[in-house]
Amino acid sequence: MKQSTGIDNIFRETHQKVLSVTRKFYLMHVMRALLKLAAYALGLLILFAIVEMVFDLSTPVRSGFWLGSAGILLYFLVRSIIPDFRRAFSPGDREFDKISRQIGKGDPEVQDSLINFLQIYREKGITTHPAFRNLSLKQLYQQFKNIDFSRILSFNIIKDSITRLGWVALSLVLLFLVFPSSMSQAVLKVIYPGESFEKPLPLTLQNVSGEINVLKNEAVSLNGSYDGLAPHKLWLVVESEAANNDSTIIDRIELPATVGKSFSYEIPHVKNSFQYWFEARMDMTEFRNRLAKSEAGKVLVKDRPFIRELQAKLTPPSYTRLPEILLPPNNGEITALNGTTVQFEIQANKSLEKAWCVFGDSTMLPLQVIENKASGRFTVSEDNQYQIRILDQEGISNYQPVQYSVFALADEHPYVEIARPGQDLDLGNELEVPMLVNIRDDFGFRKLFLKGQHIRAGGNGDTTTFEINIPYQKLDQNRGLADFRWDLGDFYMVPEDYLEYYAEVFDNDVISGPKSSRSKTFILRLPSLIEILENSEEQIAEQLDETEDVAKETEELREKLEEINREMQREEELTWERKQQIQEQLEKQKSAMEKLENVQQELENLIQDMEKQEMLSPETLEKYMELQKMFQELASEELLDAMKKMQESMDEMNMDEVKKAMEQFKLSMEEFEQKIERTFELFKRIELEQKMDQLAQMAEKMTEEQKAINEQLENENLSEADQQQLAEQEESLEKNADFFEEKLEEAKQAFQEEMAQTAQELQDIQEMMASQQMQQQMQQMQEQMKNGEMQQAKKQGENVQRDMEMLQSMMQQARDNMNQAQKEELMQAMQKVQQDMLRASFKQEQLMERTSKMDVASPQVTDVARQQSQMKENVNNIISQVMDIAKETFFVSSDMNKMLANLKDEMDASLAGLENRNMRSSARSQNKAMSNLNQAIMSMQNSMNQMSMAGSASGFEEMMQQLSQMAGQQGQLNQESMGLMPKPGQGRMQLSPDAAGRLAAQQEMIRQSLEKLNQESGGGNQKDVLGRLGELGEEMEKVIEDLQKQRLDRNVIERQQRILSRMLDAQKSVREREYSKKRQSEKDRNFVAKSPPELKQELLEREDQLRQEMLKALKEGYSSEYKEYIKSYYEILSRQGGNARQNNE
Amino acid sequence: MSKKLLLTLFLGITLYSLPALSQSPVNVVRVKYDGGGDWYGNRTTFVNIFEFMRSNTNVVTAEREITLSISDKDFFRYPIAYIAGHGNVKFSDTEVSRLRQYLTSGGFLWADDDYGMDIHFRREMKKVFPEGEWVELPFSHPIYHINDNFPNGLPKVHKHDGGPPRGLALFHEGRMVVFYSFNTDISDGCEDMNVHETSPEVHRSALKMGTNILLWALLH
Repeated sequence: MKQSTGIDNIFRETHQKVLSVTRKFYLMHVMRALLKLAAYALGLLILFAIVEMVFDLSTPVRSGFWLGSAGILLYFLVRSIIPDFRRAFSPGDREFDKISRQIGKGDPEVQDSLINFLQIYREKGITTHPAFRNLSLKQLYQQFKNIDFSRILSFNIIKDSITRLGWVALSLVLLFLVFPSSMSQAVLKVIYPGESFEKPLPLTLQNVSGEINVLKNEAVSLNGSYDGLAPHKLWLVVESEAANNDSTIIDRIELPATVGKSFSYEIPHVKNSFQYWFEARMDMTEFRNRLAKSEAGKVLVKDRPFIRELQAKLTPPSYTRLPEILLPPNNGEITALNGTTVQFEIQANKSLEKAWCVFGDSTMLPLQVIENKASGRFTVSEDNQYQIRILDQEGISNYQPVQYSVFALADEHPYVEIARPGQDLDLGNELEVPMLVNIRDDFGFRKLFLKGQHIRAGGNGDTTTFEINIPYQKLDQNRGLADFRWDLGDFYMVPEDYLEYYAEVFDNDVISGPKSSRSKTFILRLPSLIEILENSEEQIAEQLDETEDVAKETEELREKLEEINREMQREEELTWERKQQIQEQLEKQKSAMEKLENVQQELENLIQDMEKQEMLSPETLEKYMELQKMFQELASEELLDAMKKMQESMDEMNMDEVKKAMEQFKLSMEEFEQKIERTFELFKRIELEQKMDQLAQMAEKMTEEQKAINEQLENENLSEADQQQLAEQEESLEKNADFFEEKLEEAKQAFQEEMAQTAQELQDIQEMMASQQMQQQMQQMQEQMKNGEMQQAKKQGENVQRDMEMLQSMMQQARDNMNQAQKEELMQAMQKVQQDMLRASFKQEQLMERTSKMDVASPQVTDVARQQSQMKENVNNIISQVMDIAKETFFVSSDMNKMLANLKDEMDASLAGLENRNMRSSARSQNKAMSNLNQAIMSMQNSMNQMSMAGSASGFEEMMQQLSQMAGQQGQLNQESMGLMPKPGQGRMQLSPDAAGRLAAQQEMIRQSLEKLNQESGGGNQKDVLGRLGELGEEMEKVIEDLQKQRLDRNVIERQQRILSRMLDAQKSVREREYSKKRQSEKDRNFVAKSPPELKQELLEREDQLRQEMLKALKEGYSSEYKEYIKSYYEILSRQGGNARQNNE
Repeated sequence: MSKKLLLTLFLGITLYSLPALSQSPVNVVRVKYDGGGDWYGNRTTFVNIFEFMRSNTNVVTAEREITLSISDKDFFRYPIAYIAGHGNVKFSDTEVSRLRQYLTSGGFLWADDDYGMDIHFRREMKKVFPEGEWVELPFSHPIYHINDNFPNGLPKVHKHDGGPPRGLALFHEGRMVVFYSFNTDISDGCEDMNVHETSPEVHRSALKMGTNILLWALLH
């Protein structure tokens, strides 16, 4: 039993192995059959499709064909596939045996052992002993036990089928590729044989472009082609989304007829993505309602990056102090100063990969990118251009970036001008020049200099350069001024030296470096005394000549007018020639007046110059001022009115009016002539007097110069060059002395006729100069200085200075005497004429009384007429005297002329009345004549009062005069003392008691005068000056003491000299202080305050109006509290004003 | 309560309210003129007046005045002009015309004679207002009381010609267009005290008067 079980197991094992192989074997056969079936099906499909393509089979044919094919395939399925399929899953012994034999055949070791084993095992009932049977089975089993039965299975049996199927499939694919449309159509028809299919169009459209990526706004070209017949019409169909994205919009664009089989259409600026295809229509009846369509393609649009916002900020260089400028958004045009930093930021429409700035010179500036923003900065240094380029994350750049310009503004050069003096200038006495330097720059300054060179006199090329840093005041950021007085003291200028100077300013440009500019170069020259005098003399002479010319022209003009006037009396109509003639005279008069105006202007300038040079005494200056006033008043309103009327009457061609106007014009011209004659005479006189001023001034200046030289000689360490220079200065001084002598002689000659006394005094001065041999002393001094004999030069200098001081005092005294003499002379003349007028007035009164009482038929009328006629003669004489006086002094009022003219007229009227025996009229005229006489007397009295008060009104002139007189006296005394001085080597000399007493008395007189002056001077400035003079009293007392002891030696002389020097200094000091007192603070005194009268009502009207306006304005929005204040304010002011007016009334 | 006291009290309140009237600081333009006179003097006058005004009236002022010639295009920007000097003053024809336009259009000129300017200034002003006559202001005029009380008119600072000071004015169509302080020198009084050795009393008095003048000009 155990053995049976073992055999069974062997059998089951073997059976299982055979079964496995059997199943695989039949399944492989099923597989081969299926492949064949597929190959047949495809082959039939190909065949059917080809037939369909060629013959366009009808539905029944296609159905028949389809059924036939299906039958064949079914038959094949049933016949070949299903039995093998059944055998694979339920094999029977037959199949087992078949496979066992196959296995035995395939393996020599197995041969029939397997089939035998199976068969033996199946025949159990056979009588063979089971042991034998089992043994046989075991032996058989041993033969195939280790054999792999599946070795008999080979895939080769399906390989051919697969290959076949592959070829058929390939054929089908090829057909599809070659005839895609037709093939598809045919296959469909084969698959659906029962359905009816339309006839395919004889053309097909292809979409060549397919899917295209394109950038927004760029052009896109859509291409297609067709096969088959040419289409009758061709369209491009574009399907895009509507703006609301809810629907689509389809555009059909008809394409032009194609030449070849390809066609295209270009869309120049693509905005959005869209889908597209082509459509075509045939011009054939059977296809009329059908369209051929290509496949759809897509155009996908991508946005370019663009700059949504640009913001630029300009930061000017710090030195300009200009504020930052934020340009308006999206404005990249830059106009900025060199050195300005431009900082800009852009914002793009999308995230950026990078951004950069490209400049016109191809340089690039990378920008810092954060997301969709980028920023950068650059500095403006020149004109340029730039554009900003950006690149998005997809590497797409911005489209046509904007090109911006950069305009670089240069920092302008600064500007400097010397506004004052603003011209070449001759220096006056003061070596200080008021300067005004204006500077301008667009952004400010760093430094301002005054530069130039000092060119020394003598033309030896001795120059030194200078550079002075000037502080300036900033008026604002761009403007400044330096307003200062330039002290030229450090230049130690001597006459004829000059400074060439200019101002140079540097701006504060730190970007391109400070730039500088220079002003115009000017010259400051220290003219020599000789030049100054000659120049002023020449100019005055010119103006005097000009005035004389005008006076002559006026006389001629007046004569011509008289002639015209006479001729016109006979004419009834104004002829063209006559009109021209009068017009000519008018023009001449205008020209004369213009000339006089010029003279007056020139004179004004001249006076200013002379005043600056201190060449005029206060008296002369005052006279010049008066003269100027006279010039201004020459053209009276009457004259101007007469000229105007004359012109108007001529324009109207009215002969009567012309005659009247001519009469008025002639009278005004007579007055004008008189005035100009008087002005000219006065001018001449002042010019003469001025000579004395100039001489006195020259003497003073020479003394000062000599003193300055002497002071320098005190320095023991003078270099050779210094000595040389001092010698040159002394030489210049000597020339001045020569010039002085020359002018002295001229003045003496000029005064010879007019003022003999003055001429004599000038003669004395000449003699003094000759006796002291001043010029020779100066020459010696020069030699000594050149030879280095400084001690001798110093001593000589002291002598010269002493002589100069004497000269100065004598000159001053001569001038003062002249003024005094003139004054007295004039005063006498005025008194005389006043007395004459007084007598005439008396007589006129008597005549008037007689006339008024006289009967018309009285025989005394003739006598009265005779006396009146005599009176007229007297008055003519008086007028002549007044005219003479008026030519010498300004104190005769210009009204005097009118009074005397009226007087004459009234006397003529009186005479006429007497001739006509009109007593009442004559007496009335006599009364008026007397009245005019009395007025003239009063006017003359006023003139005399003014003249006597002149020069002493302020006390200053009086003090100056007294000081001057005292200096003159001291000078004379010194001269006398020196005359009595013992000769060198004689030692101290005992004076005679007489001489000593006389000199001591003179000195005492001067001392007392000084003391008196001190007492009278009151206080203030003058007191200060005299206070210092007070010390002289002691010096004088010592001199007096010595003289009283009959002692006269060098000490006495030197003491006297010191006294004179200090007196002269004091004069100068007082004058200078008086000049500058205008700028000094002077303590206030208490005044009795008296209010001026209240304002007239008309002046206040406006204030009422203002109040109305203010109140009106207040209605427009101020707070109620403030309105109340304003209202109250005006009410109070108004009340106060009203009260004030009431009080006043 | 006396009227003057009432006026003073009221003006005190008014002047403290003045900043509300003007947003920009009050300033004065100094007239730069030709002719050679020293238009540039009194350098510290307005520095001191302005400081005084800021401290005592609450009026907002500039630090110092502006200097311009009349022909400058900016001249009309300043409602108050100031002219002073010791010497000649000369206005060109253009300046005469512009100054007249300035004054008749609401501008105000304060002239202060430093001693020596009088004759020249009057001559030039005659060109500007040929029809105008100088009128001496009565002591009751508000210019002497608007802020500080000057019962006797202008304070005396310098002696000059001696005698009392004079406050003169030119009127145009009822409005005072020029105030001319003569024979005292308010400007010098307002300068730093050490410049002219001015006493503290005179200095303060001058500053008060200067303030009065400017305030009057501002309110009219």
